[in-house]
Amino acid sequence: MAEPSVPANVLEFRRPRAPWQKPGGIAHVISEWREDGRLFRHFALDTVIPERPARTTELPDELAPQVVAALRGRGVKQLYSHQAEAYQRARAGEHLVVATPTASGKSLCYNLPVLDTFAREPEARALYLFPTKALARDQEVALLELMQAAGLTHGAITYDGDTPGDARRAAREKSGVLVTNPDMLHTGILPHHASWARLFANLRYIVIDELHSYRGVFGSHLANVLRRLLRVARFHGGKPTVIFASATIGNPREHAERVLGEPVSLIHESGAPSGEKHVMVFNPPLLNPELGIRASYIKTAVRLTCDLVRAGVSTIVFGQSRNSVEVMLKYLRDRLSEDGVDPDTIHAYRGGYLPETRRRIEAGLRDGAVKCVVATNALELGIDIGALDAVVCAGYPGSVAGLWQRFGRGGRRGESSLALLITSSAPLDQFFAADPEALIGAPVEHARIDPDNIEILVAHLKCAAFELPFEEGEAFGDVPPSAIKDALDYLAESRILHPVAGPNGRNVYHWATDVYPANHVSLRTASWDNVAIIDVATDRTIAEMDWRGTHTMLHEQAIYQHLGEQYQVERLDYDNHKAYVRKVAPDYYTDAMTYTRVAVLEDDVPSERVHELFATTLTGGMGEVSVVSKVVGYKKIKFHTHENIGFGEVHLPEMQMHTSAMWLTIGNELVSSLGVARPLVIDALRGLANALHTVACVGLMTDPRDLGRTVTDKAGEGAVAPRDGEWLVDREPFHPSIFLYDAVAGGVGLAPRLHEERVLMLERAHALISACPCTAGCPSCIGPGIGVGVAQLQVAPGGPALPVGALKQLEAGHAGVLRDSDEDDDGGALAPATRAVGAAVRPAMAAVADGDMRKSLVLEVLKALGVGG
Amino acid sequence: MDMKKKLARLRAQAGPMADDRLAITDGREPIADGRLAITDGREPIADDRFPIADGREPIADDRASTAGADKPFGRASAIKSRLLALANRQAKPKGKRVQGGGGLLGAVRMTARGEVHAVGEALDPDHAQGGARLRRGLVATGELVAKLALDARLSGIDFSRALYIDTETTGLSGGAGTLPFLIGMCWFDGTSVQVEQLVLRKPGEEAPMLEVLGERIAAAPCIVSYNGKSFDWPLLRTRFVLNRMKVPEPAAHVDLLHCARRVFKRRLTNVQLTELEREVLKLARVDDVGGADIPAIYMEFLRGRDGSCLNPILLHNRHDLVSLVALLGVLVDKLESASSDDDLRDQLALAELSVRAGDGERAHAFAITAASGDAHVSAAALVLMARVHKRKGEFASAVAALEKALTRVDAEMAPTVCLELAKLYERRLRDPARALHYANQATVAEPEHLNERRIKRLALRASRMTLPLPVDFD
Repeated sequence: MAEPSVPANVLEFRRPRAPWQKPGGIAHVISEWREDGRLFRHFALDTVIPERPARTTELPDELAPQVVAALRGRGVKQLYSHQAEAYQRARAGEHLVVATPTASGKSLCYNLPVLDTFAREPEARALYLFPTKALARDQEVALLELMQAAGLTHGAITYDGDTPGDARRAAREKSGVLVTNPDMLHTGILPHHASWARLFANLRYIVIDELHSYRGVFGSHLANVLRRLLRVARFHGGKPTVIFASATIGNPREHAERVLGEPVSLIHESGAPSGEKHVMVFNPPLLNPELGIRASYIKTAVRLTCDLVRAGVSTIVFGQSRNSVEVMLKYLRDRLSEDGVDPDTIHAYRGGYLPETRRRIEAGLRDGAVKCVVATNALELGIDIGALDAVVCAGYPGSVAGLWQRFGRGGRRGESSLALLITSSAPLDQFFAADPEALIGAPVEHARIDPDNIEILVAHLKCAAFELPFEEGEAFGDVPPSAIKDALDYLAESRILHPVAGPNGRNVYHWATDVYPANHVSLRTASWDNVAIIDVATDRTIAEMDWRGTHTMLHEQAIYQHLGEQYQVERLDYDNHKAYVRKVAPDYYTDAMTYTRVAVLEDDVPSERVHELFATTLTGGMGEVSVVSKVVGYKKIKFHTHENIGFGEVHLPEMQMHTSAMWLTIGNELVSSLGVARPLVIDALRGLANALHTVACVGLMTDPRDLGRTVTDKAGEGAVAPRDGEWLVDREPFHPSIFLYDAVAGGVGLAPRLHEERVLMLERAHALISACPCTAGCPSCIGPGIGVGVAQLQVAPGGPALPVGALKQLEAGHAGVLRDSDEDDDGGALAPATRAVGAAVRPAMAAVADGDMRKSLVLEVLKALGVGG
Repeated sequence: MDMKKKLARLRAQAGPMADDRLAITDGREPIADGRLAITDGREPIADDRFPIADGREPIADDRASTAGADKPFGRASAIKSRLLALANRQAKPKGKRVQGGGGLLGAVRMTARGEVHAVGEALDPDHAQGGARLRRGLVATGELVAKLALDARLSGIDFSRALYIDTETTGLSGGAGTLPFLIGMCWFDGTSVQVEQLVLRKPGEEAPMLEVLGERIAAAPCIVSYNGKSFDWPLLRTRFVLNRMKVPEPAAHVDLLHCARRVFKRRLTNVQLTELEREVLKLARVDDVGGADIPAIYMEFLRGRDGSCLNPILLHNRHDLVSLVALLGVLVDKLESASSDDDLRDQLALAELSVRAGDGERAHAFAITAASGDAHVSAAALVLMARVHKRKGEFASAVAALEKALTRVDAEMAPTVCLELAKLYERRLRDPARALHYANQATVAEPEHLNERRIKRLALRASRMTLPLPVDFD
């Protein structure tokens, strides 16, 4: 049982402090904030989730005596209720998913039944899957300790790309638990399953931890890897029970069943105790109410975090992107070192750091040498860093689930903790700033996958056929035999498989090329093809970057930020995956601008009139699209002021993906009928697209990064596109279309659902815009739209002539507005995008930004469309 | 799930009857790959090797007109590919004819598990494979092979009864989907060298072939292969497992690749079997089928091409097998006795091999021969000779060999030799003055602080020769 928590300030009296030292602790910081009236009025929420006592049960009688002894030896005399339930159900052979909060003792839920089985069956085996190598290593250590305590000699071994040859053999022959990741299972184990016959024949349990991280394409791949795993296990005679563990998501059972393709039972009531948690939301003040521009949430997060660190509160700050993490690290170190805080007690933690750097920071967090860490979602997973006293989220992470996963990082058992969200001016942030109570007990997002995504399914069918020939009439997981036969015939036509009539008259499909298919299927977007970042001064690799991030963060001239230092990219060797950087001390950082266009490849639902109440010119459809995005340039953003102090061009190849989208097309006749310059109408449509995006994300409970948006012609023509230095500016009048698309290749089924709800979505977008208190349109409703209209006015009769360079900058500035929100930084940085363009633009600017024109134009468009009366 | 519709789309995307290799490896085509595909921004469909990668709705490109003309291309290609598939299926009877024999060498034989297609041949033991006679391989003694393979357990084996194995496969990547479709075996029956090649007429018919292989392995005291430890044997093991047959355990396995690499490492960087044939057996194959083409030829055979297309592969495999027997003979011959007629680099390598095999006498003999080679070979041979002497406690001879070596070594190797001399003089010959002389030249051969300590100690001892000698530091 947890001890009653002692308020931190009581402890202060026990330990006398020198008079010049300020008293510390969370309670103290919070009370100072409350006393500061000018600060405190911007807190949108200040509430407490009370302490919750433990619910425990006795150790089950059936538990093997060795395991009981091991538990007692480690001070475990009772189990939390969910642990006991997991043990009973797993023993009964039920597949199950344990979805309880962070630090509720989930690993015992699966370790207990596994060890109990081992104690009875010397030959039994188990397979543990973790999404990352680091988690696998942590778990191997924990398991070995438990096994040793129980006197079990089954052993556990991590098998990944780093496992040496001898250990690999041991892993195949002897190890009771094989700890690995889906990628290794996919490329290294399943294709060689005959060498693992003993594992598969005796496989009693499959444990899949961090289930919530297998969403989107990665999750769809995992489901197919599981189909292959179970097929191979069946061949060797193994019939494993699957135990999933997940952080909080909205649909753990449904998600697990989708991943497994079989019924799964759910355990979600945690019996673990939790300390009192202060939950606060800070909404930075509006600086410009007309444009809806707020004080920088990044600087606000830094300021509040400084209060915490000064008071000795160990704090983790979550940023939205790698760039913002590095910026916050720099600011925190700058400020706190003025107060005599050792900068080495403040660190950043994000993907791309080399493993040893990460390990060092993790260890520092555990032993208290690191007081404050600024992290991306790389720390969301169950990496062991101990618990911290305070969690600060700089910006809403895009989902309620993500927010609580981050908040779960705070709170030592029995002590009070702080969870603080600082909202940006992004729409979802403001949605929750307006209704912060909704964050507590809010419905949580669903994890979505589509294991039957045809590209993913066929890729894994190839791998499966490589592993074992397919017999006609065989199913693949929950995909019925008839569908599988179609796919096999397709592969046979493509001469990848070779059908041979089997003994019972059915065709058997054999692998029939010299290719090793698993090598051509990557389960995730980021893991392969990493670019090495090399410091030219020392010729050493300082970090790595995934392929996509390379485009936005390692283009030539980019300022690459690493561990609070700045480097400039001197050369990007794109073909050889190397970026050469040199340490510099600039007063700015760079922010890439991405241009995106969409073209319809195939209509699943051809365009048709959306609703009879709406204008005849408003049509909508859904289908498969190609999304091409390209980094076209970058902005230089000054440190601390966040002014835009310049631009540069970037020449990198495009990134392309196929996915599914829904679209709304506005007839050109309607555009012309409004009596406003056409480019302004298009710009207004972009505003409408932003509003639709917001209501779609709220409606579907989806992370905004998973849903892309753009306004373009359906064939990808017409939108402003960079080509050989010439910028096509809406030459031919086209029927502009608003696209909302699945931002992961192949899609996970968002588009069809949005298509179904298109009428409701339009109405909600109208409500959002008309109810927004801003006058001219703001980041929280239609988003900023300055820029493109100006450029296009040039071709409008009477528009001012602009130098091509200025146009490009304007375009680029606009593209930045719609850029990949993964690299989103500060809402406040968007407005100055036009400032640098110079006086030539000002008259045109006036035409765009004058009065309430943009927002009212959006409303006018909606009215003409017949939406919202 | 509407699989048919989705597949039709995929089919259109992948192109009609895409070359099976392209269909999988084409990085831009998202079939196999969740990653975003990459294209050069300027010309989205610039590469016509991938005809309709995104050709259905060309994106903002002038070339659109060409691809655009094929708007119904997707459907057309789907139909076309179905027609081709139909043609394929109708071509199957052709495959049946092949099963009867076609132009494929050999004949069908019956086993307990069904029919197997086998090709047999008997060779004279005095058959010459290039410049080497098979008989020399057949009479190899276990004692010598054990040294060659650095495996003492082989010494009792009668290598005249060894089973030589070489397979041809549908790929080089290994794994459960790689199929050995030709298993070549070779053994000596006392009068002639038997070559037997088992051909898989179609996938799914492996059991009889594996049955025969298992019997032959069980009857042999040892199998001999080339790279078989890492490639052929794991593959064959996998086949037994996949066919739910008991995996035979060869009594012993000699992988000649490793033996050849040890013997020829100072002369040849490439020890592929064909390279050894050329350099060692002095044999040049004429019209040999390239290893890389073999999988594709077999696929064509499966899809109905006449069995005669496999005959070049049979010949290729037979060559490999016979060369293996000849190669073992050459290797054993070379190891049997030192010869100054042989390449001195090989003699040096054989000396090194003998040291590793624990045969000092033999090592010494090879080192003496090699010491007459060029400076580099000679120096290495003398250093090796010194090691043999030292192990036998002949320290004066060891020192003599090293001092001779010192006259030939290059600047890079000299400090190491000096260090060894310093140690020998100090501890064995108890001559600190000479030891000091060499220690001074050995500064880069050991960590700085150790060398400093050594020099300090030797200087002290050289100046006070009366001090008791130190305890051995080794």
